[in-house]
Amino acid sequence: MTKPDTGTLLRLAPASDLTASTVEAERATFHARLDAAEGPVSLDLSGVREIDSLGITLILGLFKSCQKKGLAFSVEGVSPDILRVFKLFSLPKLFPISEAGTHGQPG
Amino acid sequence: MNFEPSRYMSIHSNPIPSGVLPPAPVRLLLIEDPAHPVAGGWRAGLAGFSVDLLEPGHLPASDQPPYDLAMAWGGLTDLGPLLNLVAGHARRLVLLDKDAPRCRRLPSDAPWWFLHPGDLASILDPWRQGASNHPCAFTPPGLPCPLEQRVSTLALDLASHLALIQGALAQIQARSEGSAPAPSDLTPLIQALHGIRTQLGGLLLPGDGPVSPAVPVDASVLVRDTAHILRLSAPPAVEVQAQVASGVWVTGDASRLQQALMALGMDAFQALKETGGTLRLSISETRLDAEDVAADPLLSTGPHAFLQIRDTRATPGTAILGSLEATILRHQGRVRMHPQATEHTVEIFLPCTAREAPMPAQMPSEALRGTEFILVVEPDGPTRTLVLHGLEALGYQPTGVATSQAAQAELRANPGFYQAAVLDMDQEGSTGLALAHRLRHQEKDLPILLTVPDHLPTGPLLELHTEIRDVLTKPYAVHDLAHTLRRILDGGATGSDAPAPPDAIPLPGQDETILLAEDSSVTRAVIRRWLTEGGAKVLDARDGLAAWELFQAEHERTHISMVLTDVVMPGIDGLELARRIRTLDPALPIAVMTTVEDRDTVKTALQAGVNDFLQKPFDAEALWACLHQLQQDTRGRREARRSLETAQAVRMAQRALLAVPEQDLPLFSLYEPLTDAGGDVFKAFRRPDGSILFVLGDVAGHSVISSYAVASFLGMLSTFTQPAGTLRDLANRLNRGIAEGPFSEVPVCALLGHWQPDIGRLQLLNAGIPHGLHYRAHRGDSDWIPLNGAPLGILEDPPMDETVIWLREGDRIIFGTDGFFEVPSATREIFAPSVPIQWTSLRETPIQWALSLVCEAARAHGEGVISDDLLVLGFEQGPPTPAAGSLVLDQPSTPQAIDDTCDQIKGFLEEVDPGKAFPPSQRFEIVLALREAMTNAVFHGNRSQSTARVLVAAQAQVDPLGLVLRISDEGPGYDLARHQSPLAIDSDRGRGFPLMRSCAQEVRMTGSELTLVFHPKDASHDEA
Repeated sequence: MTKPDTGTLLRLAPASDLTASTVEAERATFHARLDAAEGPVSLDLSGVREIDSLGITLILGLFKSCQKKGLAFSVEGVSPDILRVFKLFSLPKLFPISEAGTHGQPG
Repeated sequence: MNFEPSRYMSIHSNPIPSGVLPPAPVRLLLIEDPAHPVAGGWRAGLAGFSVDLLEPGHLPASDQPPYDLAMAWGGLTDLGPLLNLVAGHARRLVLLDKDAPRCRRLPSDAPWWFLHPGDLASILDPWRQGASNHPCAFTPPGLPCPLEQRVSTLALDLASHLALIQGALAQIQARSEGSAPAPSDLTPLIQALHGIRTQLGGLLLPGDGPVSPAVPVDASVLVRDTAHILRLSAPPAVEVQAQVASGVWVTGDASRLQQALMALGMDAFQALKETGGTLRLSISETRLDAEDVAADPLLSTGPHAFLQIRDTRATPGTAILGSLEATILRHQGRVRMHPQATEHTVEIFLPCTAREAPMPAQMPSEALRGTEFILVVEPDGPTRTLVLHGLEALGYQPTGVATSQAAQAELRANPGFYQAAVLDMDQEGSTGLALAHRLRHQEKDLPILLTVPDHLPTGPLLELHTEIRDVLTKPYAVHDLAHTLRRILDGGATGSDAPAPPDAIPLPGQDETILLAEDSSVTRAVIRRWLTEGGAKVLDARDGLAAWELFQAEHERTHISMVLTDVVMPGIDGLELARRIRTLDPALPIAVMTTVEDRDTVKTALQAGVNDFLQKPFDAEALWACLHQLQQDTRGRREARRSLETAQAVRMAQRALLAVPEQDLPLFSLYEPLTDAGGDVFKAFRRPDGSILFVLGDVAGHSVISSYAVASFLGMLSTFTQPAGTLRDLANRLNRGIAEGPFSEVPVCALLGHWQPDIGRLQLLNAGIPHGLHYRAHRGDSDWIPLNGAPLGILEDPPMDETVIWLREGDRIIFGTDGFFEVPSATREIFAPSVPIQWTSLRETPIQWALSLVCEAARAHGEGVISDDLLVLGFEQGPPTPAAGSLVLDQPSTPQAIDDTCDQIKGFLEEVDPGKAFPPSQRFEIVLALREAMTNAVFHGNRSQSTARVLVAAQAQVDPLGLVLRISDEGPGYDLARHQSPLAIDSDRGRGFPLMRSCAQEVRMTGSELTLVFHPKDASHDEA
């Protein structure tokens, strides 16, 4: 059960691309911040140009953590290239994803 | 060479009773120039005699009694005067030469003999074996001189003199080119002389006839050996060089051809001995076309051995050209001479034995097709449908029914309509056997094929149920079914009512003792009966352990000739039995009876040392054929061993093992054939893109048949390598070519390789030659290259391992046949385990010498004896020189290396694709796929060990436009087909390959190399 989006929005923005060389550091940062989250969580990928399967696994991990805590999870600022990858694995069925340029309008 | 026939007449002055040789002790005088020793195995024939040596120019001691025989080589300089000098000191002279025409010019009644060196032993043997009691009478080889031979001799002399004149004229012309005043054009005169010589060549043939013996000969080895011998006997200032392309075979008489080459070499030495210079011998394969034949009608189109003998003599002429022409003409070849001012060249063309082979037909083979009406009784619906569709596709007209009742009704309704019936063993409420009985009752001549589950012993079925014509074990392919049907329909029935009784092909030798291991008492009894009916003695065991105990107890006391074992047995299985037997007897022939063509079993069996396979179900005929083959192989090995103990042993023990470079290629090989027949083959081809395709083959046996099989195999290689294809394509073509060719009973183990020296990529496919080592320069050690495979020509779809190795600068590869790796020591330990250390320790030694030394080590391991053909191939990777449009990266196994690689490929794309044929969105996908492949290599293949390397190669393609990325790690690789995509959307893993498959048009894995192929998507890709 997801909590109503009443708490403060936690926006997570990776410092770099989400690939094999970065995911471990990003994972540690994200989960540390997620521990304190009480409201909806949004992952901002507007600074991310490249991603790989480990990056997708990281995002799914965030999603599952939010699910456990009953927090809403969304992804925003996704480039068209990365969105194609998300669609390949049906991620839009799991959580709202918004493309770059449609910031704040998950759908 | 100065022949002075008139001076030979003086030899007549010392006659002895015609054809009678004196009693032993026999004294022999060998006249030999130490600077030009006569090589070859003929010296073995002198063993046991008292032999004195005499150098030309010296006289035997006058106080010695006359020698019984004085022997000289026909090629000696100033032979005539020499013989005159010796004539007074010997009762009889023997002139050793392989060149019969030279002999004809001498009077036939002279007290000297002309002998082919190979015949020396047979002439001397009777002497050796008791001539002391009864002086042996010999008839010297007769020299009849009918008219045609006189004409031939005359033609030969004329041709020889004309060759001299032609050579002199050509040389004059060459020297005077550019000089003033311009001399008369000598070309017409030279051409006229050439024409006359050609005509004279026509006169030689009827008198001499084709060469005999005419068997396949490895001309590459011939040239290499001749160069070696010439090198040993060259005058001080003469250098002998050789360039040899391996695997060029011709048909003819090896010794005559070698003699011809030796004569050319000696002639060159004569011309060069004062001035010094260089003699170069080379051999390669060339394909003559219609234009070549138009220029010289005596040539034929097709592959030819092209031999060149070049020297730097300053004086014209080749005195022996006439006799050389005779030899070459009798081999259906041609000789050309090109004397020039600074170089004298003799070119020889000889037709290759290996003719072009027909390309195997694509499946389905025509041989499997038919139009007959077939009744198929199969209760299982899907199976029935598949069988019917398969047979229809091959042209048959099958009718399918599901039950016994329907089958009987169909036959009643259409009497005499069906030409065969296929019945499954499992029938509803009945069995296939009972149905067969009933159908045969309805139609007594209806051939019946029974399909059975694999656990049923088929031999007894055929024995006990004569109405069954043949049995096919499930699961089977439609082609297996069609193959068996064709045998039945074409009258080649194999069942117990087949026309050929078991004793039609008797087991050769009545006293063979065969160890039979089979756990089924019925099958064991049937096989035992077949064997004993054929005259063999049988030691049978009910399981593997009993067989092993029996073998241990009997193998010293009883001579066990062969082992025939089932695979699956209680206790120890047949493969373990084979392994244990190999520890005691590495040479005993072992055949295993397999129930299905099980890939793993075949592989394991080969590793266990099994020699042959007998696939169940089999009949007596197939059993005899298998055992016959095993026996032939054994006999071949024994004969080879015997041969080794004589002349070959001398040769192998005395001569150095020297690796030689492959002509124009950075490959080195060392080949010492055990006998002149059959054996190992090596052939390399340069592809248009500069890469190298090479093949090592080990053709079973050492018989003359094996020689023809080698020639046939080489012919297939030449043909099948023409269309560029994958190694697997080539292997499949070879497999079918052998199986469907004239020597299908001779399987070939092969290793196929494709090396791209510019980028260091080496692709390998193994079909039965599992021995290879990779020395890694950056690690300083050597690894085995784990590859397995079954020999070609046995199974329709033989198991073959394929892999890719990326070589770095300084890396070295060595491959060899079992004659190298499995040389046994006196304690029967094979050489292989010590090769990695030896190969590594030779890392500083130039590769050519490293190969020679490691082969010497193999010989030392065998205590001087090598009991099989010895063939090794080696090469060293130089610095990569990627061509434009390609990039090679050698990366550590770190996450950062993944990013670096992706950045470099992005830059590479910018460079090779400035026009953006790959749009930005697709470039994103290319990098994404590469990133996944790199991640896989770093984290899985190399298990994150940063010292392990990842090789990445990028190649831009022009036609069709594309990009090929190859990523190779140091892991074992894996089967892409077994990779499972993630089942759940939120799964934590398994997205790498789906991503790659989504981004690349082609994803394939060969060994540990992953290949991604991209082609530009249409322009709408980005818009989409």
